[in-house]
Amino acid sequence: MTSKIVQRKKGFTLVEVMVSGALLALLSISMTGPFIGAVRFQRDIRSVDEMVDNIQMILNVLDKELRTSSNPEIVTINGTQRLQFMNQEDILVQYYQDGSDLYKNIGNDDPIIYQGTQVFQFDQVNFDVSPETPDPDTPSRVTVSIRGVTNLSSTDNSMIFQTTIIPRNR
Amino acid sequence: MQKGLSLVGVMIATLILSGAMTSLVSYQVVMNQIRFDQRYVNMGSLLAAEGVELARGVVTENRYSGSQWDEGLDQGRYRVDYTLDLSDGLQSVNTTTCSVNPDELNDSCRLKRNSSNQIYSHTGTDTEDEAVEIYRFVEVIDGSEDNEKRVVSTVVIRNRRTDKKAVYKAAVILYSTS
Repeated sequence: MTSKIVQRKKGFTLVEVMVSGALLALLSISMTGPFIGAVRFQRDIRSVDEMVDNIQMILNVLDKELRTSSNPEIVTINGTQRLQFMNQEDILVQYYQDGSDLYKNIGNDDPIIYQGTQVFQFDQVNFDVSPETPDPDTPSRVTVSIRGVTNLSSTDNSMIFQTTIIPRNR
Repeated sequence: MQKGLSLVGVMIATLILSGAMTSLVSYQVVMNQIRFDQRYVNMGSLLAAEGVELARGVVTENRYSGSQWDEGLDQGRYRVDYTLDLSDGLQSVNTTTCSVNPDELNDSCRLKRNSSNQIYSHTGTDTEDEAVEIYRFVEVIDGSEDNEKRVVSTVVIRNRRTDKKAVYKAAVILYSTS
């Protein structure tokens, strides 16, 4: 008499596969929202970081230049207000906003243009100088305010960076 | 005989996997939120430094005009902003009501945006659409020597939506140069 060994393979039944597949699908769908939110948030942060870094860099440069400058004043050229001063090497420097860009003229050289990017713009650049015309007996005070706007949809998509510098030179 | 996984095994494994993924996303969201809140660090630091710079300007003005080096810099609390006339010193903007204690913020030391030039000052316009409220005061403290003054500028930025407050400070010791 010969005995027959029957090998039985045990795996998933169709019902088991369908139930676990359905569960996995449900879980995946519920995870999609947070994932998309996290990715969007990450993108927003990069926009803000880019804006902060750019404006901070400009203010640092301006701060260094103004500290060693003389005769800062506001002049109006072609209807645009410009901050102008004589730099350490006694060369005329001008800063002004044109559209969403910030321009810097040094002497007669071609202007340096600080441009906004795809993710942020220079919304408003403002200068205030006191006294209005240079006075050798009074220290000048220069206040610079740069308002940047990111392309975020949230309400807190703009930031103002402000600094005041008192030049050390008369 | 090959043994497969049971339905319970698959479900438990799936649950563990989804739990791990949720934790990962939550962690990322929290870290992002922290980074997002930190975007005001530069703004707060600049405004704090501005307070110090204005106090330093008073000393420069005194040097130019030949006045005593610390005239207008008596010990006290001041609401200083860019409209300050350096020749008047800080006495013209003295305040006793202003507090920037994060637990008892006082509106008299709020910095508000000027609607025309967008510059922050204490006399600017309140803009409800702004995401944050900014408070600042400058404190002058007599130094241990007659020829020194300590100036501390404190800025508090309050997030209107979350009510989170962050404090930024800048300080300097001013000396008589004579």
